[in-house]
Amino acid sequence: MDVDADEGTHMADNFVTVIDTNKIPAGSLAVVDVRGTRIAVANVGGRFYAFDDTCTHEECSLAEGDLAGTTVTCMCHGAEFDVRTGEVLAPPAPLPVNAYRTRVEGDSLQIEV
Amino acid sequence: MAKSYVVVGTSLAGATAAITLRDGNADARVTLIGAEREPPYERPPLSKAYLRGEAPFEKALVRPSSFYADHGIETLFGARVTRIDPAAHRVELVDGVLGESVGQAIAELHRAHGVRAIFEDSVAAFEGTSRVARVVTKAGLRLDCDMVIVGIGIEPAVDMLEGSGIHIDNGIVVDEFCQTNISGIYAAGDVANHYHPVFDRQIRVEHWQNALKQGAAAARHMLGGGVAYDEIHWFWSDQYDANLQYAGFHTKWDELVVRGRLDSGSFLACYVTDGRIDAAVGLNRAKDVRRAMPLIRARRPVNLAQLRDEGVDLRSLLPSPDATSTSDAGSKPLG
Repeated sequence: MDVDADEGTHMADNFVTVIDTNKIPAGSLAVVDVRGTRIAVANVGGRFYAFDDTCTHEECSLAEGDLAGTTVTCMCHGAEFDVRTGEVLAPPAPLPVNAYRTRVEGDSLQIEV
Repeated sequence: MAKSYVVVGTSLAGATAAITLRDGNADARVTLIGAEREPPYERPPLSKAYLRGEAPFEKALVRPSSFYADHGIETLFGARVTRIDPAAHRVELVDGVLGESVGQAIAELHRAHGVRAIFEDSVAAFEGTSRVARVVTKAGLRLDCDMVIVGIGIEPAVDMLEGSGIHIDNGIVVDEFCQTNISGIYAAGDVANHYHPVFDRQIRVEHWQNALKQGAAAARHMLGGGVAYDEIHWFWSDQYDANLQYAGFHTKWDELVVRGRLDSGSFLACYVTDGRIDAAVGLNRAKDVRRAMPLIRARRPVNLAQLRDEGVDLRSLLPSPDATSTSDAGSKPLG
């Protein structure tokens, strides 16, 4: 279980299972659909981070980008985001993306939505 | 070594010069360059038999179009010479920044979307009463329109620096720290003709990324903490549903190495000199363009077969940082 991501969750949580963790090798990205929202998932050395897949610049898929450490680079125009927080690290993205808490139950990755 | 002759101008004079050079020296390298896309042709028929429609254009050719290749005369038709450097015995061309094959692939993208490109002609007039209704070309085309977009380029605004002693040459000349020849005066962005340490030359760039990064680089040096500005220049253009990106800097190349097919609507074309990538242009290949940037920065030869192989991740082509030290038996890298 991912200790950081699980911090502060309570009984009545909103975590939903989205993908098998084995489908996201370390250093890679995947995209999942959660109730109609495309969410990107990054595996940074065994730790999973989730954030909105749609770049705030021109709506390209961030999961199509490259992951280096905790930075994802949008392939369309080079915007960079911190996968941990969704914060913009490099323009042209004007706004951050939402970040979601994650936890691992067995082989299942869960995202709080 | 065989002599090398370059003839600029595909006129009757240029063509006869090239033909005479070939006749007089069978071993020489003879290159004929001209802005027009057609092989050299005679002008008199244009106002006579050809104009009257009594003779085909081919009859006006100085030599049949196959003549030049048959006689070992290299031709660059549709290529405009911008500058002749007499000291270096070099001719610089404007056409061919991307190269003919890549240029054609991008032209095809436009053709497929119903855009007609007209070359070797220019605008003579805009017509209309209260607003533009028509463009008339020098060749006599009359094109109805609702709107005209004119790409006028830019001229660096350097008038204010006249008499300042600041070195001006194709913009404001600055070093790798964005500083002019006068200490404390900096320039960045479109106006700055900057020394680029990766490419070891002055470059002036009119793109978004350079404006963003170079302004910050100049400021950091003013604050006393600057490092050399060595950004790999990069730009994008979204055309229709296609994403076009270019990274690096090149004016010439030995070899064009293509991942994918130029006619497929998705490719990466790398401009390679001495085995190293100077620049890459990608059509719907943003990931490859971004992954090529470290290869461009490395300035080291890459395995061209792997570069061409779409199954190979470009990140794996980057020479390892200790590649030189490990091959040096005498010095083992620390750590």
